[in-house]
Amino acid sequence: MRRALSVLFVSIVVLGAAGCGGDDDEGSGSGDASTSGPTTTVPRGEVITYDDLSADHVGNRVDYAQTPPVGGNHAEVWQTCGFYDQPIVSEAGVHSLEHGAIWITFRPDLPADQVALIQQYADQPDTLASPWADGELPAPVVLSAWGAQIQLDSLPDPRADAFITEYRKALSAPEPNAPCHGGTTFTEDG
Amino acid sequence: MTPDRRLRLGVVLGAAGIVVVAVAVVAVVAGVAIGRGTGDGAAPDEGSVDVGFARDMARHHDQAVELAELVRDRTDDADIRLLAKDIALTQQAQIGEMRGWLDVWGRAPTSVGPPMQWMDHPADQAMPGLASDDEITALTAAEGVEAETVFLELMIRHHQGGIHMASAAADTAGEEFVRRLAGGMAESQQAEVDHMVDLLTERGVDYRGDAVSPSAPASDE
Repeated sequence: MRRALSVLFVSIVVLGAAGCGGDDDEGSGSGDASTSGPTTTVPRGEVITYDDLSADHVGNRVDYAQTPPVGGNHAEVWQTCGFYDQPIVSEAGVHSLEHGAIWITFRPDLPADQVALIQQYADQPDTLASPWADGELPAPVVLSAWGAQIQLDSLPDPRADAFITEYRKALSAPEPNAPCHGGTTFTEDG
Repeated sequence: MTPDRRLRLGVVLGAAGIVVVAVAVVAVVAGVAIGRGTGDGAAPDEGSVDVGFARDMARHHDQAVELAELVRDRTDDADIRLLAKDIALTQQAQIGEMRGWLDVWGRAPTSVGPPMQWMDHPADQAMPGLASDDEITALTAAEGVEAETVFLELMIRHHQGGIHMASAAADTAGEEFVRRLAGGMAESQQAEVDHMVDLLTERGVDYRGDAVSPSAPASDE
């Protein structure tokens, strides 16, 4: 755990110094990603799927094709499932997606009752939630699984439950029966 | 026999052979279907014991693996580390086995609904024996003998809850292979409970005084 944390931390520091010009940060692969383009064009409430996502372990920041990411290269360590009140490192979150987790991202300015509800979802097994800080989240709430994503205005929403039922621990993820515990609890802001 | 008649006989014999093979295939398929245990060859229903047990026990096992991994990082004691390795590897493998059933049955791997409905438990009640977030935090913060005793107490209760669930599935699941795995779980986890009580006694803790009902709800799940 401690070693995994330091690996992640060193990765972030190194990348901070090196910028995003790494030569192996090829994002999340091809497939539908190129045609779907910026996630701002994706209709709300529809499940969008992505194929042919790469899944290498890398020590650098990755320039993901989707915001938030739905898969691709990722950190050695995964993000332990649960609720986070600070943004997490996407490269760790993507590793949790690889393990079949659902990752709920939300705008940090959501009302407290929305955040409380999101926290209830994140209390479910194999589910994590974190705010998305940079103002680029394409909807107030976005649910991501490996290779699938749905944008929503708020929770609860039956489409959220249907998405979770279909994708959590599902074989659409590369390693759905690997755990979401025992990873890192590191956040971007420490 | 003229060549023409010989040809006709061959065709008839060939057709008869195809019928025999077809009948055999139908018999084998029917036999396999009957052997599945539900009698009609269909996958277990969404509300069946089999589906509910597979989903809930996969979740229950997941926390056992979490507790075992935590204690392995917090003690050098060979007995505890071996026990934790055994629990983690066994239960992680069983998680894959149960999720494999759900996939073959075409059932979702997890549910957003309340657990334990296949045992008719109240919808607001947690699965029996699960550790609470606070208890996991306590184990995470402990080291050495303290971590060992916290782990043993949590895992004994976890196993007791697991045995409660596995015994029910062993009695009531429709599929023979589900009943068999569940029965094996109940048996081996009871043996581990006995072993863990001994390990607690070695550490000066009398577990019997702290026995927790296997159906006691966890505080936060």
